[in-house]
Amino acid sequence: MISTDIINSIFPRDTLNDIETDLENDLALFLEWISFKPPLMDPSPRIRVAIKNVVNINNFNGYLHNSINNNFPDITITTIDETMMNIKQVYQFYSDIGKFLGLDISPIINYKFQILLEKPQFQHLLITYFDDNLLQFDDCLSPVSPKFNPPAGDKGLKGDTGDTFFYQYLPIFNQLNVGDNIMKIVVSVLIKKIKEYILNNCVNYELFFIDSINQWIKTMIYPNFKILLRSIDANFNYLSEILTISHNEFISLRINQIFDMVKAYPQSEPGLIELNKCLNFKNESHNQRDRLVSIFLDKIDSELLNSGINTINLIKMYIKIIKSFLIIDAKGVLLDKVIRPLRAYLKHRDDIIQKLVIGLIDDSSSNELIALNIELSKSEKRKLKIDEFSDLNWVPDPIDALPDFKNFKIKDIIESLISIFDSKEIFINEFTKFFGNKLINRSDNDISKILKLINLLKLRFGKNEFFNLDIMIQDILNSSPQLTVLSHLYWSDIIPESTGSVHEELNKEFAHFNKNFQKKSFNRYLKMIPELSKVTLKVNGKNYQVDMHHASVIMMFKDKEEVGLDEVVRELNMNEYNAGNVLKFWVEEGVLLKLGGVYVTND
Amino acid sequence: MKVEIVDWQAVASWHWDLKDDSITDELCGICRVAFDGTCPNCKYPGNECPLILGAGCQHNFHLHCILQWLEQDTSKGLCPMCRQVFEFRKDFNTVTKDINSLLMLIDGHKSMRDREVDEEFDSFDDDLRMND
Ligand SMILES: [Zn+2]
Ligand SMILES: [Zn+2]
Ligand SMILES: [Zn+2]
Repeated sequence: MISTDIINSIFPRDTLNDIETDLENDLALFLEWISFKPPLMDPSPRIRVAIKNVVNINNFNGYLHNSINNNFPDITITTIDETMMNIKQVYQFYSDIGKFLGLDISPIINYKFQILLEKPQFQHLLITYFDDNLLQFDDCLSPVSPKFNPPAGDKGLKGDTGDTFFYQYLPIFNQLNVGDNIMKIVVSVLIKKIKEYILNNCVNYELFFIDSINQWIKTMIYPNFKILLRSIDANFNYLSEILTISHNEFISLRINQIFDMVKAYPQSEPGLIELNKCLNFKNESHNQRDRLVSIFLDKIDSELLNSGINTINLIKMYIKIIKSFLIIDAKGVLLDKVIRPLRAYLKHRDDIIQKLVIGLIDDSSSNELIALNIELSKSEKRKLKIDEFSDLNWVPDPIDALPDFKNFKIKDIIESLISIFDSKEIFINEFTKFFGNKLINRSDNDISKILKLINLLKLRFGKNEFFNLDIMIQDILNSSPQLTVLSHLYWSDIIPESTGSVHEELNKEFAHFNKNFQKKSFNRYLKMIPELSKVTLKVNGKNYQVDMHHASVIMMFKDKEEVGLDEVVRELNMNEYNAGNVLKFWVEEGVLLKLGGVYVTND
Repeated sequence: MKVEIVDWQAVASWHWDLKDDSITDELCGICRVAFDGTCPNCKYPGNECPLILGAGCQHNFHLHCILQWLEQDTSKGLCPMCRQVFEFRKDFNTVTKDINSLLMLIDGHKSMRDREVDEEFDSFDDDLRMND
């Protein structure tokens, strides 16, 4: 390409005007002749003499170029038609001069037009022109298109558009030797068109689009584009490149939508599947994968990692991230990269273990994390699968995996959530507490359900982790409806601290249980746990099922008609608040009456 | 006022009866697990693995723990804690297979010790005779 520097080095600053010889007159006449007044006049005999004299000047060629450079007319940029006609006229004028003189002046002419072409206004003019007309070249008359001879009388607007371009503009561009520039502009317009098409038509990630994009390229964009560019480059054949460009545009859109897509899972499955498809196309670089990861991580940081979002929603999102990213990348490498910050964050949420435990265990529709319960119920099948295939199907980790990538742990939702925490113990403790409370308030139906759940949990957390719960279950299975016997060391979370002693008569009755138990239990004896025990009493002909404290208090009235609060506190080692509550219960039941500072029977 | 007990839904904890209030130990001297907990060989605590109460000394062990100890000849039938001859309180109402094994081991160690004493006497006699 010719630059100003090169021109200046070839042509000294001097112009033909500066030569002060006897040729002065001839020069004036010659300069007048070549000054831009289109069309170029046929030179008169006097001018011909002048030309003859000046061409013999030393380095005339250089002077001529310099003069054209300095006197080149400004081409005002108006409409495409006017501007192109203007260019044509200027070009014609100077190339006629060259022809007449028998000199090649195309370097300076092309250089001037090159500058014109690079002007933003002119670029803008061309971009607008191609933008408006690109999709109308298809039907037109093109010198190199297979449709060189269109059916007669079927021209219309499209035909006119093509005619104008191919017969009027294109020859000018070809003469100016600016095919590469035009090609660049057309490609930029093409990309703009593809972008617009995708942004206007493909935003909804709940639908599939790749097929319709390909179809649009093949029937709309490519034929027009090919006709146009083959007139510049006859070997043009870039369908696969254009498809790649459009797929890249499409991925860009989906990558920008990634956070919303994950949030919308499973409705967004079509979008995720197509993202996977595009990322796996042959020409795809790792750039898009990296961009996907960094955009998603930014979103996680700004949208999820703050205390305003409750733990349930965070876990829901965690599950969606796993499911979505395994669609995008089945190997789990991308998932591994995007899930790490959320894992680190969840680890320190106070209620996370409790929420996960309930999510896993509760099979009712009120469980907001029912997905975990469903996943747990699939554990049996999963275990089988892993045993069968683990060794046979081993493959090395993908190349862009992080060094501590764990293929197995990352893909399984429950495994992934458990592995957030360094030890399983906190889960086991929570399960033990949860099931312990269920077992102690048992109904027979519950026990078989609990057993089934614990068996599923054992598949996930390891069989031996549940030995404490196994003992608790064994205790319950060995118990009768009248008497539950606990191995106390294993119920420490459930057995409450003593809140009082038991009435003598209840203790005496309980001694029968102890006697029976000792008969079949070597040297073991029983201690009643009043806070967990219940008794059914018949009081004044009516049955009440109450705990030992309520029973003990009312039994004090068996032999006495009147008992004071202080007496209850003293005799049953209860605190005043609890004793007061129990008495209040019996008053509300109509069994006792409160008279001043004492309670009396209401027979 | 008339208050009758109609039905019970009692909850209780069980404990090994140490039969001696002066014993403050709560851990098996061998496995260091609480008496009321499971020995390392058992899945559940209770009748399968009763607490064996020392009779000669005041040391108590899970049945399986003391069995394992006495199965070694080097134990010589002594308590692992105080090195007295190990005896235990046999006030059970049933004798299980494991308790029977314990009885036999203790007997075995006893006769082994008796034989050793006899042999010592014999060699003492021999020495006397040789000195004659
Ligand atoms: Zn032990
Ligand atoms: Zn045992
Ligand atoms: Zn001892």
